[in-house]
Amino acid sequence: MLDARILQAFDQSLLTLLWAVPVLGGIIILLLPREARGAIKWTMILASLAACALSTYVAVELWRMPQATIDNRWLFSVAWIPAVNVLYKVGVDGISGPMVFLTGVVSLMAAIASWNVADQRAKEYCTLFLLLLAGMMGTFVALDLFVFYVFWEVMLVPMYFLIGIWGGPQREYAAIKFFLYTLAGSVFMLIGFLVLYFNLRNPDNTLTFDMIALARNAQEASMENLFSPRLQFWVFAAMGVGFAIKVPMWPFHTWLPDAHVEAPTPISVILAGVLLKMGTYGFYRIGYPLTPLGAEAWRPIIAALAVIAIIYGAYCALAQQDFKKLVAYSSVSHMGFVMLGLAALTVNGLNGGLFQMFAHGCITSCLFLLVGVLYDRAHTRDLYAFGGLGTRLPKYTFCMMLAFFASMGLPGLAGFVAEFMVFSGAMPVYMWLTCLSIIGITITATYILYTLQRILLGPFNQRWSNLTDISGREALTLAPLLALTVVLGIFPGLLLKIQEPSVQALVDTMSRFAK
Amino acid sequence: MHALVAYAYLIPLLPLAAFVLIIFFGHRYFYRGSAWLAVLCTSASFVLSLAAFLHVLGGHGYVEPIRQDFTWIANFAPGAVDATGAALLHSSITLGVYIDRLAALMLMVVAGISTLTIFYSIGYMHEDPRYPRFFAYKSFFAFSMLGLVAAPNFFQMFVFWELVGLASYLLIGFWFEKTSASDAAKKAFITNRIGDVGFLIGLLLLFYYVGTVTFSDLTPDLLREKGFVGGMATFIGLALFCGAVGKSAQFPLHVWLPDAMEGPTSVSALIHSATMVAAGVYMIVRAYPVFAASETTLATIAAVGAITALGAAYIALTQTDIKRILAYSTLSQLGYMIFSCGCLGPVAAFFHLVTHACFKSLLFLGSGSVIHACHHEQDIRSMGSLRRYLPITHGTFLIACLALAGVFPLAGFFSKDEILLSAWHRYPAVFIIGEIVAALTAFYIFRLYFVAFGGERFRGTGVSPVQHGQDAHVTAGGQHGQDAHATPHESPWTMTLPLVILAILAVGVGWINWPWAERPWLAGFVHVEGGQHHHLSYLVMGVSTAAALLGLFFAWRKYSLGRALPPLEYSKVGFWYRLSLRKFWIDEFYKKYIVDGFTFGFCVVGMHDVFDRRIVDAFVNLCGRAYMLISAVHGLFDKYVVDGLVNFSAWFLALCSTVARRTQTGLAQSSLLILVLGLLVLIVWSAMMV
Repeated sequence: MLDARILQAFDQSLLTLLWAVPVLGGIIILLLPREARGAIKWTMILASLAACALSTYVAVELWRMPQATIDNRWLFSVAWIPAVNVLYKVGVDGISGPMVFLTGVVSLMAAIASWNVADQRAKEYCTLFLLLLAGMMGTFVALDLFVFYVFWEVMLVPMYFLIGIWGGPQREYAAIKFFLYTLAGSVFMLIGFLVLYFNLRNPDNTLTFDMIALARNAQEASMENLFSPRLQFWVFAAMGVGFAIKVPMWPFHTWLPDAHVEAPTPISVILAGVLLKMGTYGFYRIGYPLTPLGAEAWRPIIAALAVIAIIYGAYCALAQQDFKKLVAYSSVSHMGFVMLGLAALTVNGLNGGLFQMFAHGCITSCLFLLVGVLYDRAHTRDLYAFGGLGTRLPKYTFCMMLAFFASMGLPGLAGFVAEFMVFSGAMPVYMWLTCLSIIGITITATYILYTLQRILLGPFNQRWSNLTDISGREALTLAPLLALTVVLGIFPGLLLKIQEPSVQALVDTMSRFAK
Repeated sequence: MHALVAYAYLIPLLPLAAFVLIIFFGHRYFYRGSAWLAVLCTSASFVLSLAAFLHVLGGHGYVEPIRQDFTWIANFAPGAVDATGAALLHSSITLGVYIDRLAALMLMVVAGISTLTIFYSIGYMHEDPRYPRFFAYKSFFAFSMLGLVAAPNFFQMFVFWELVGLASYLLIGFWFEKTSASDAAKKAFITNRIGDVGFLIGLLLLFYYVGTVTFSDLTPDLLREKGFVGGMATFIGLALFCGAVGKSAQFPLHVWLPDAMEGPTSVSALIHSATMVAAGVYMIVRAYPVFAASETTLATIAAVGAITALGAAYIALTQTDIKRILAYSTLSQLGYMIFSCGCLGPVAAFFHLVTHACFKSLLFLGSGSVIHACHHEQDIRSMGSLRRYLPITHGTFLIACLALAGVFPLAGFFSKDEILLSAWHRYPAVFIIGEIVAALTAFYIFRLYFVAFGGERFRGTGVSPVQHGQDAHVTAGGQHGQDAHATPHESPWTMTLPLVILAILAVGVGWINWPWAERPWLAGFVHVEGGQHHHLSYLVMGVSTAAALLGLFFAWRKYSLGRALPPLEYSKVGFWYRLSLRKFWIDEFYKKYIVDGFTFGFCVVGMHDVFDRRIVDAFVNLCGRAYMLISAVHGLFDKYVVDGLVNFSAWFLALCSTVARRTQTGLAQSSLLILVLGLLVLIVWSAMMV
């Protein structure tokens, strides 16, 4: 009896722990003396490890018992600011579960990869890093629009400083651009949230920020024509701008190459691995269920923009000379697949989109880590400066081949499953757009093969004769991500099993509003 | 043997195990052993394939195909409907092995030739610094190809289709220090990807149109029931055919195959002649009803195949690199198979696939032996009289040449005859092209034979400009550098044994489909609707034999009797010769107009990047500047208006207080005066109120 109660208490506090543990770690770091750099960095890593362990537990439990709805055993709700009906409400389902897991894993890898970066002003760096982690975890588990918004903004501030202080030569420009761009999006998002708050009253005529209640109210109101399609169109657009900037959807993507290029390696990893997924997650969690008719109206436009992003991002990547910028543009292209799957609104499309979010998180993190490995040693990212490294750096070559082929969507690796699911999901809905995006994969292959050739193949460039292969710590950060890529590529069912029930439920809900 | 059938799923998995073991542990723990591990695993796959083949052949009665699979994605497109509005037949993706007679024979071919070429590589790659990695890649190829052949559905075929592409990429670029090799690998991959776009589109459309992509379900009856006719059937068929065009190197995507000869020769023998490039043909044969559903598709297939067969044979006439001659020959023979598919002759195509695999891999391995013997010289003009130095290679090579030329009773004769027979009954124009190609084939292969093996003396490398030797030293065997002009020597037994085995096959494998039999054996492997079995025609046989002998005769007269050598000075040759030598300028055309010209390709790339920076990002920055401008205006407003008001009010108050202070003099008279004045004002004011 007692055991059951303890277990229940654990379940309900688990999601809070996900963000509270990093905050606690941050507080401990603040209490440590500035000189104790080792202890500070170890605290950061251990806090990330704890968060990663908790998120892994969530993922494993979700895999054992997939949850279709979000009001499951982890749901925790308590009044926070009763005056404006704000609840502290957190929960996890098949859509947010994989993202929580991804955040845990990628952040741990980034924390380990921060070892050298964090030597400079260790105390500030580690605190900000943990604050960032708390913000990300909180965003993925929040079930109240107000709480969601708070976490969303909490993420922004540490990111600004992490790029602005520890970044490259153009860091201030990039940090301000990132901050203002995202903030501009958040403002629109907030307007959207407030419109929803004031328009979607509960049956007992009270106001609420609770996403679950709002979704229910929105769907009922839409059925009874009380929530006009025109209003939904604009609310979706307002929130969509906020999400689209984060994704980033074409044409809101230009903050991304700058921020990526200037950010230090671990922050690029977090940025590409987790932060971009916030945008698409917003569509899954808020955009679709809370304004179903708005989503319905915007879907074709989203699909078209997604295909533009896929092809345009790939072409831009092909033109880059900076290795990191190339990877940044490849993210624009790859996130386009998520948006295409979202726009299709079929089980395969949504499943593929979610799978792509996870796969891209792993693969692009690897790519940024690999860029970092090379940059740390050679102090250049110029693609034309290298050549023939394949003869001297066998481990690096192996990892890079694997990561790049995964990015290209080679079968047996996670990227293929995602792209294939998205294509198969979008094909019956937007046939011609899908055909166009399939043509886009040849451009992807082109820039990836050119990059591999420029760095690894060809005659060895003697300038790099004292370059060393990847170190143990670097291998430690790469191995889990590559392993996930391979395992999910061979057994996609592991992840699909978690997300399927929730995706099916979302499709069922949305199908009531299809034209 | 039947007990082994339960382990049929190991056929692709054994080479995979070899790959994993060698790639991770080979270099450190079993450097030379990696080759033997690869041989062991692929030969075990061959034994299992043989067992599976014997099982499905099943004496007299019909035996159910072997089916061992597992569900890969359980919930694939639930709720979707096909063209008729019915639920999809298969809402899941299964992977595994599906072995009917067609697949079983193909598995034997793939596993058998893999084993032989890997065995051959033990000698051929002996000095290579990346020895274990070569065998790892070869095993990976065997895994991918066996998985492709045993695929139960189009999904799995596509998955392994891409994986063989990767293996091909890795092996073409095996000597990646050479720019030409890494370029060729890249070209092969990208060209294949272009074809794969069509494959993927076709596969997905087929899935949603018919509701299944499982081969055993795709029967003509089901396709008719789902209304698989007309424009959509043509579109899907042609889209899938794009995949075959890429993989089987048909015009206009054929350009990667000749360049792929940059890979080691035992790779060319396995991948770029016998097995992988035949995957396109295998795919068409495997899912024949899908292609046969549209007349337009069939006609296109026939036309593409015929163009490739003729064009490639014409190019092969003037090439001087021994591997390139064989590469164009492969293109041409693949063209035969493809047009046979278009002429309702998938059985003939498959038959030719099998025989071609034997004699073409023999030709490649033979040429590898020659190249090895001539110290990495590939120009036939630098060879000559090799029959004296390489007796085993010579004998087996001659058999392969005769088989390729289609001389009775070697393997090529029977399969080529079947193809021409089906063309004769369907498109006579294609038949005529096929006969011309037969003559050209005999000519170019015996030109190669007479120049390289005939003659009285070994010419050595002095004859031709050295263009390959330099590459060779980088890679396999630097010690050959010193004795580059020494006489050639026969290869070790690990290389000649596979030649002998393949030579036996090149003679005998054609007899499996003995045309004088009551019912030719292979006919039961593929069921073709509308394509009834044609009885043998002595006319067709006679014409093709005459064509082959004609070609052989001209080659003999010119290059053996006349002792002619291909010219060294290309300025003197005429237009028709140059047309062949320059391969119709197709590579130049692609290079100029598609790859790096200033026209379409990279212009678009550059435009995107410029557009991104100058327009999209500039707009963002403009917004930022506008914002800054507004804030500057705000700042000024704030400073001079808002803050000015504040300051003004402060100043005003200060002014008032200054005035007020003046009044506070501290003198009693002043206070009294003000008091009196105040009283006066009050009195006046109250009087006015009244």
